[in-house]
Amino acid sequence: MPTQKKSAAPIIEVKNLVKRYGSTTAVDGISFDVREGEVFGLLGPNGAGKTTTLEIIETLKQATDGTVLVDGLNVANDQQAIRERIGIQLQASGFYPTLTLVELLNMFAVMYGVTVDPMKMLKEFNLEEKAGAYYADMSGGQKQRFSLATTLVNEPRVIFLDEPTTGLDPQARINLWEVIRSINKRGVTIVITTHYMDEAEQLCDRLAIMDNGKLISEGSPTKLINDLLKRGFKRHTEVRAATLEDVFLDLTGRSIRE
Amino acid sequence: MSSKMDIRKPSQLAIIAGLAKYSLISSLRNRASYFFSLIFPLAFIAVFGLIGNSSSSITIGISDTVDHANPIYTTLQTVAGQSNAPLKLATGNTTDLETQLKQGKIGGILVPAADSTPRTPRLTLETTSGDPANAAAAQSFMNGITSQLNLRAAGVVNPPIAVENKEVSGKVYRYIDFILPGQIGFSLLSIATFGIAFPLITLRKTLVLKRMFATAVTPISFVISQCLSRSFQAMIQAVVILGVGVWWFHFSLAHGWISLLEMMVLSFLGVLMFLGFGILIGNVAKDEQSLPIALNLFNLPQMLLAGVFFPTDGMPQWVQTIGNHLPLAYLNNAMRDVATNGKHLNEVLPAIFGMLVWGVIAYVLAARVFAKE
Repeated sequence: MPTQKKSAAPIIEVKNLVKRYGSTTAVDGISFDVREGEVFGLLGPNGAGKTTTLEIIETLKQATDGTVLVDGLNVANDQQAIRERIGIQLQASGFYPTLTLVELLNMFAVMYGVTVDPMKMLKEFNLEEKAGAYYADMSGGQKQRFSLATTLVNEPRVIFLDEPTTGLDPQARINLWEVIRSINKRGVTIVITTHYMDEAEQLCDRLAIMDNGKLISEGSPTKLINDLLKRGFKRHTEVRAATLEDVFLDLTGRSIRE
Repeated sequence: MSSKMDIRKPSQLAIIAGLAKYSLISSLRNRASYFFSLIFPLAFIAVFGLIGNSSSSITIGISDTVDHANPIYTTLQTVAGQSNAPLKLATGNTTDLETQLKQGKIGGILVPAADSTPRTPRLTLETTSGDPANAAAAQSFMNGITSQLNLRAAGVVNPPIAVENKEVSGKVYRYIDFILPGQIGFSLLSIATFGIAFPLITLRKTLVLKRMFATAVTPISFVISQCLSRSFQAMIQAVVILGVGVWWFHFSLAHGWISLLEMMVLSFLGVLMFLGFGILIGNVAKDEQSLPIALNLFNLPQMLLAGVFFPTDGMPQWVQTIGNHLPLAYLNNAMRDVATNGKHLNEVLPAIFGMLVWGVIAYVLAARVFAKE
C-alpha cells in the first residue's frame, strides 16, 4: 500500500456529470473527487460508462450536463490548458510504426512544446537498450513501460491509465505496478481503470465503482471490503495458504522476461 | 510539483514543423510507399523509353531473287539509307521473308513478277490480309515510289499536279515526351492520395490520433504537417523522375532549366490539389478495406483518361471532354505544354486555374467531412 501522506485537496472534481447519446444515457449524473497525489481507481463492468467518464475528464469528449474541473480548470472552457497538465495512456494504443523510441519521445515533446532527454527517460523505465528500436518490435511489458513513459513527457500533474496491465504475464504485471508506484511517489496523481481486482487492491488508495452509468460505491479498498462484510457477506471458498499465482511465480521466477 | 505551474502555450508553427519532420522520417522508412509513387513510374519510363520509336517506320522485305540493278531496288536502298528514315529493309530468301510477313514483322515483300523482263522490270508486292494496317502502309509506300520512278522514266521532271509535304514542327516528338509528364503526374497523384489517406486511417485505428489530440496539437496543425511532409517527399520524387528522364532518355525541355523550374511549380500545385482529395477520401472511407476502393475510384479514371499512358485522341468526343477536365489532365497537359511546346507559366493559366478550382473543391469538402467527426 502507498506510504506517502496524501493531501486532501481535490485535483479532479466531477459534479453531476451526464452524457447522453441520443436516447441512450451513458453517464447518469455522477459526482466524485480525485485527491491530489493519490492513486484513484474507476471500476465497473463493460458498458458501465467509465470510459465515457474518463474521456470527458480527459477533454476528448464533451459532457451533456454537469461540471468537471481538472486542476481548477473547467473542461468545457479550458481544454488546451488541461491537456498540457495531464497525460493519458490509452489501452491498446499504437505509435508511429517506423519511428524509434527516441524519436517518438522527441515527437511527443514537440507536441507539448517542451524538450526532454529521451535517453534519461528510457533509462528510468529500463528501456535504454531499445532506444533505436521500433515500438512494434518490443515485448508486451516493454510496450506498456514505454507507453507509460510517454505520459510523462509534459511532466503532468495527473495521468490516466486505461487497463495498464491487460495482456501481460505475472512478472511483467508486478514490474509495471512497481513503475506505477514510483511515478506516484514523485507526486503524480494517477487515475486507473482496470478489470483486475488484485491490481485495484494493490495500487489504489481509493476507488469508485460504476454500473449502468451510475456511481454505486466509493471509498478505500479496506472500507469497501468492510462495508461488504457488514452487509453479512461470507466467503464460501476455503482460504488457502497459497494461490496459483504463488505457484506460478515460484516455478518461473520473479525476473521479468523480455 | 504542488503549485500550479504556468505552462506556456506551445507555438503551433513549431508543432507543425516538428510533426512534419517526424512524419517525413517515418514515411521515408516505409518502403511500400515508394512502389507506386517512384518505382513504378521509373520502370514504366525505362521500358518505354528503351523501346523508342520503332513503331513509326515500316519494314519491307526484298527477296534475294530481285535484281540489284532494278531501279526500284536502288531507290529503296537510298531511302532506307537516310538517317531517321521511315523505311527499313529486310533481305533474305523468299521463304524466310514470307514467314516474317505472316508473323507481322514486315509489312510486305518484293519479289520479281512473273512477267518481269530486264527492259521492263516488274516486281510484285506480297502482303498478308492478317495485318491490314501494315499492308496498306507498305502498298501506299510502294505506289509512291513507283509513281515517281514512272514519271521520271517518261521524262516528266515537273509533274503538273503534285502534293508537297511540309513538316510543321521541326521537333522530334517522341513517346518519352508524352509519357514522362504523365508519369510525374501519376507519381504525384499516388503519393498525395495513397500516401496521406492510408496513414490517416491507420493512425486513427491505432488510436495514435486520439492520443495526439490530447496534447497541444490541433487537428488543423496535424493536417498541415502531413501535407508538408507529403509534398516535400513528392517533389523529391518528381525531381528524380525528371532527372532520369532528361539524363537517360533525353526528355526534351524546350527552355532547359527554366522549363524544369516551371514544371516543378506546376508539380507543387498539383500535389497540393491531390492532397486535398487524399484527405477527403481518407476521412470518408471507413476502414482499410474500403479505402483502396475509394482511392482507386478516384485514381484509375484519371490514369486512363487524363493522358498518363496513352493519348486519348482516338476516343469518342464525350470521353475526351470528361478526360480533359479531370484534375490530373490539367496538370499533365500543362506540363507537356511547358516542356515540349515551350510555353511559360503565364501561357498555361487556364490549366492552373483548373487545378485551383479542383483544389478548392477538395479542401472545402474535406473540411465539411472533418467537421462532422
